[in-house]
Amino acid sequence: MVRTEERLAGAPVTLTIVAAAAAAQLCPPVAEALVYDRGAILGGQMWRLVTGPLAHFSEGHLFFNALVFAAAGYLAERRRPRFFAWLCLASSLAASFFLFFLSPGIEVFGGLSGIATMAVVFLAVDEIRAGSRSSLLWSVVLALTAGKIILETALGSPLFAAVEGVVLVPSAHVTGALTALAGQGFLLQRKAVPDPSA
Amino acid sequence: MSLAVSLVLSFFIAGCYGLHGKQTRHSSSVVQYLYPDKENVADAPSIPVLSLPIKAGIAFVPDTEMTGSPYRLSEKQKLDIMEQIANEFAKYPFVKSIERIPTAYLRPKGGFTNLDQIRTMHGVDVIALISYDQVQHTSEDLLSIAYWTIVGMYVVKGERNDTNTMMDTAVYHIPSRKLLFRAPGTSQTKGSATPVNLAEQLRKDSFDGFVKANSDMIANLHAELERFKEKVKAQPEAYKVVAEPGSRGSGSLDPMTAILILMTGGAALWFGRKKD
Repeated sequence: MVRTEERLAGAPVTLTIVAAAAAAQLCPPVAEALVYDRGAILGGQMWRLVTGPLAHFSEGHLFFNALVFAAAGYLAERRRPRFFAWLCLASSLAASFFLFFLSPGIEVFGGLSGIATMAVVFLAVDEIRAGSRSSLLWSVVLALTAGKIILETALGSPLFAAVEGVVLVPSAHVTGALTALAGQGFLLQRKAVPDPSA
Repeated sequence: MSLAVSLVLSFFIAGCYGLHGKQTRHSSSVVQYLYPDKENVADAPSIPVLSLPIKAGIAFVPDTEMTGSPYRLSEKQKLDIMEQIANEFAKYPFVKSIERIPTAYLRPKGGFTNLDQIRTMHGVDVIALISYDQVQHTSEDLLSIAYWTIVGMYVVKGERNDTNTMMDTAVYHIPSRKLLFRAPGTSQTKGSATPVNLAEQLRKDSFDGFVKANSDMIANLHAELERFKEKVKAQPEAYKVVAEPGSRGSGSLDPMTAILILMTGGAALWFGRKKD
């Protein structure tokens, strides 16, 4: 029991984000206050640029996004706690700015999948760079993620994809993956990559 | 070519049935409205680009046959039927609005040229075209009616004073000329009229027949819409979906991808630890 609590305490950002997303789903007024809403942002509610991914449009939409983020985020945050927190913030802002400036047709946006994609890519690259013995499997994880992004970008948004009436926005996953790669590039440049297994 | 041959065949069959016994017939046809001459039958549909949320229209195609029928659906009755269908489908979150289009806007044999005009006038990209065929038999003969839809022929047995009604809704994407899905609805009202109240009862049966066929058609349309949704998911190369200004978007990890990533990542961790 103590070990579980210690482990959870080791990933406070991941835990907070998942808990906030679940709370927003349980309390619709909270979700409405957090969701990316272009009109409200133009009206000055700038926090929505950061909090948008916490809102979801159905329980199913939340479940798989949160499941992947919780798993990948927990591991990534345990390796680089402070840096991962900044990456979550950067990933959320990158997705929102992309939508705001390049997809003005999207009025409302929600979903953790962009940040989840960032966590998966960051963790996989981190493992490969650290010389993990299962680098090949981590490469498969990267290939799966890249394949999904390429397919959904090339084929467009499948109608009724996750939630009826909601268009799938592949740019959220692209910005998530790019944020992770930029983060790794930053670490590499600073040569601040201590061996995580050390 | 096969559609053209089928068209000729359907007219022949319908004509044959008309020769037997006494019946009144009241019908309209999507095929005759969209493909009035054979040259246009070869119109090749392109890939539809569906803008979400969808702005749709709904309309009755113009009447094509009135054989001895003193009854016809009034414009108000048509609007009521369209209202009922529109209310059922406006609930879907991917439907922005459903415009009821009066029959006067549809020219007989207007084809896609007419639909293009309606698209411009009403701002709709998708249209549900309703056609129908109603036959009332007043003779002792055992008759049949043949109804030709865009995809096949229905044959219904009829008896004295029965009212057989068939309705059909074909949903088209106007710019691409593509039939998205269709659904029929049928009803059969058993004749209860006596010679004294025959005309009045047949008139009542006529409208009741449309109401029942419409209910049947709505249920079938819901089922067909579900099938269409599955088809769009399975064939993303055949239907392109874009976001219209004002739409909602989401990032989403589909279950298959999520499970694959989790399983592979889990395996990577497990093997990494085992080897360590």
